[in-house]
Amino acid sequence: MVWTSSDPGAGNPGLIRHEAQVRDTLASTISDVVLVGLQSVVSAQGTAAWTGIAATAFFETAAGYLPEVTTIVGGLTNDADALHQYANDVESIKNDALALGSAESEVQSDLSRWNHKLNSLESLSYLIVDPAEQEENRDERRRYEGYIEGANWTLREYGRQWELLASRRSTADGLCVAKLSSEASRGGLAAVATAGDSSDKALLDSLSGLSAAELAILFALHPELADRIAAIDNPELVARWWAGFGDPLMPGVITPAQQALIFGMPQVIGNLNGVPLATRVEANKLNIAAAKAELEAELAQLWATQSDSGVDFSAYAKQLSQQIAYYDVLLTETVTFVDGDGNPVSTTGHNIVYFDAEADAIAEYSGLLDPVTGGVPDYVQNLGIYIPGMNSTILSFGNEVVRSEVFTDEYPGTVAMITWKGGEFPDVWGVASGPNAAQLGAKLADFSHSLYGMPDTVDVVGMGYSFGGSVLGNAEAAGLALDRSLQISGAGMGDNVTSLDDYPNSSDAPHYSFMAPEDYVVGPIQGIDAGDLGHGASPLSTPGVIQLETGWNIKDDPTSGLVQGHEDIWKRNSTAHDQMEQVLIGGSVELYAEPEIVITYTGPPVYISPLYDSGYEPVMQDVPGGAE
Amino acid sequence: MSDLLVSIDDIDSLTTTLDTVAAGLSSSSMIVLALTNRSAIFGSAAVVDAVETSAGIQRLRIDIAAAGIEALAVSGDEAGARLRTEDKLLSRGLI
Repeated sequence: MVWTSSDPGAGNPGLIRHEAQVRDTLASTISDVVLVGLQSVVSAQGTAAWTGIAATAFFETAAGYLPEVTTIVGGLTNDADALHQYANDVESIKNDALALGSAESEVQSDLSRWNHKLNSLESLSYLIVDPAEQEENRDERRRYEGYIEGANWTLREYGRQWELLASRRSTADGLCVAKLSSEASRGGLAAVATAGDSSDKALLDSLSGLSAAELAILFALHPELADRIAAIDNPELVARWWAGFGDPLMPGVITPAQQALIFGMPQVIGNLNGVPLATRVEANKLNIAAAKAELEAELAQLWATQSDSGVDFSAYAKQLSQQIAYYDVLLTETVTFVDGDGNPVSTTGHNIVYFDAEADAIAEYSGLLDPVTGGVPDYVQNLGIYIPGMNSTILSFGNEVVRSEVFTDEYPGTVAMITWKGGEFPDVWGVASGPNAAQLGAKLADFSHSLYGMPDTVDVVGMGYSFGGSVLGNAEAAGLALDRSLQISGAGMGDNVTSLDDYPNSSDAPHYSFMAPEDYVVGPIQGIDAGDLGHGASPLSTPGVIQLETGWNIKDDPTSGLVQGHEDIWKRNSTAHDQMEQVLIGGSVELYAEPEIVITYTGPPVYISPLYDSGYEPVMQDVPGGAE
Repeated sequence: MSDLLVSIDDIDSLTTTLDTVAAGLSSSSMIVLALTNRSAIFGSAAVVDAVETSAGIQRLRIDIAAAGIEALAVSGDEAGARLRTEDKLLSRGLI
């Protein structure tokens, strides 16, 4: 029951004081036990014979908790003070309301009695004949009329006092709320804007100064804020905001404020366009560790369930174990890439620049990141964005990265790769879904904004394989900007795409495609665009797209046989694989040699490649842009 | 190894203190309004909202600090166990 103008003292001061006392007791306990204990631990560092890096870290960590615990004590004490004051205010108002109510009842009782008496006198006046008694009756009626007027005036005054009590209660509420919402009670969280009442810039600015603990609290209480920040589509704003937390005297070094944001909202920072790639890598280490811990718990639960139920979960358990092992590799494997001076540089952990375990989404940057900017270094000449084909999962993603890193190994330092799988990729039953590829394409276009601030000298080359080709095309239709584009046995140019004119930011970029003979995976679905089925125009026949030759299993070696089917194009020394490299680095590509089609009357047509002709000379064409 | 010698009692007292601190924080994290009718207690919806929000923030803040200090106590225990072993080996001239 809340207070009203007729009951401004509603509430229970005794119980409010009880709540205040709980907070007082808790503050005292934490202060007397925790704070004192931590202080004694920290002060012991000077006398303990324990030395070394581990000891230093131990004592620094302990000291780091002192301000946080002090804040907790201060907050609880402030809350207690606010509630004590509120209890006093409510009690005072309640007592005054009781007294006022009592007085008002008394006057109302008198008023009722006087009205009754007056009515009686008025009735009697009609029966009195004696003039003297009439005079007396009149006088008495006047006297009671005076009483009644006085009572009514008093009641009006009491009404004004009820209004004053209501005003006092409003003020008391306001003071209590203000104190409970103040910085003394809530720390940095007191100033944070909440969802829906601020601009993106204001929201980001309000996060500055919050500790990692406060950020964790904020997002626990307002999970919608994390979604709102994650949805900010303004890499310039985010980059400027992030740089504002940096130290200009130590460029490239993550500051405590930035560390707090990483630890406070790792899922957001790990995937937020505008945050440097190197920082996203650090945040995603936390996300991967959390995903790994979740799988380990699930595996433990699975074993417990199996032993109780007798059901065999070994196949699923094996899958979980493999994924846990993969996450471990992502976090701990030593990876080595070459810098701009040709020197090998080793780092621990993979550069995961996008990660969302629930969405089965991951992207890995293969190469070194600039130690100052945290982005793509200026010695990188070509950045390939490789999108794999159907059936790709986080568990199989490592195999796709291996494909990417063939290119970084071949062109150390000058080529970097991003292998991208921004969500769930379909299996064979869903591979023909155009809308699915369109959704992923939109995500890829958005992801490309993570390259904000990359040197203009870096050429960006899209390389989509199979279903990934459709994702690439859809991304271009959604605005992805590229310097070159390659459809590797691509399923299509994108949902509802009919020409390069459907690509707003890449229609002028050179587009290439190839598909090996007897590719019965994408061959049958290329060019289909019927409702939700199909992936738009065929990459092999779209005007403006240059078709390339897939050639021999070993380049320039006819004895090795022609590349055939959907997978052989990945053979390391094949013509097809060389074509990928040439598009990526801006080299020279071999144009498609139209086969001779021989109609047989006893079976299907036979395609005879002109590559077998003794005088065959490949037609080469330079790829615009890029440099080896 | 000699420069890592440490007073075992000091480590024990540190970890014991931290265990006490962590336990105290964990038990202190139960800031619960025992009574169900908050509106009847405070008589104001705005005050109820402010009280509950502050209680939520304090509770989360205490839980986060408790988890961190408990982890610190565990690392202290692990370091202590490791150093007790080293100390024994050292006292026997084995290292």
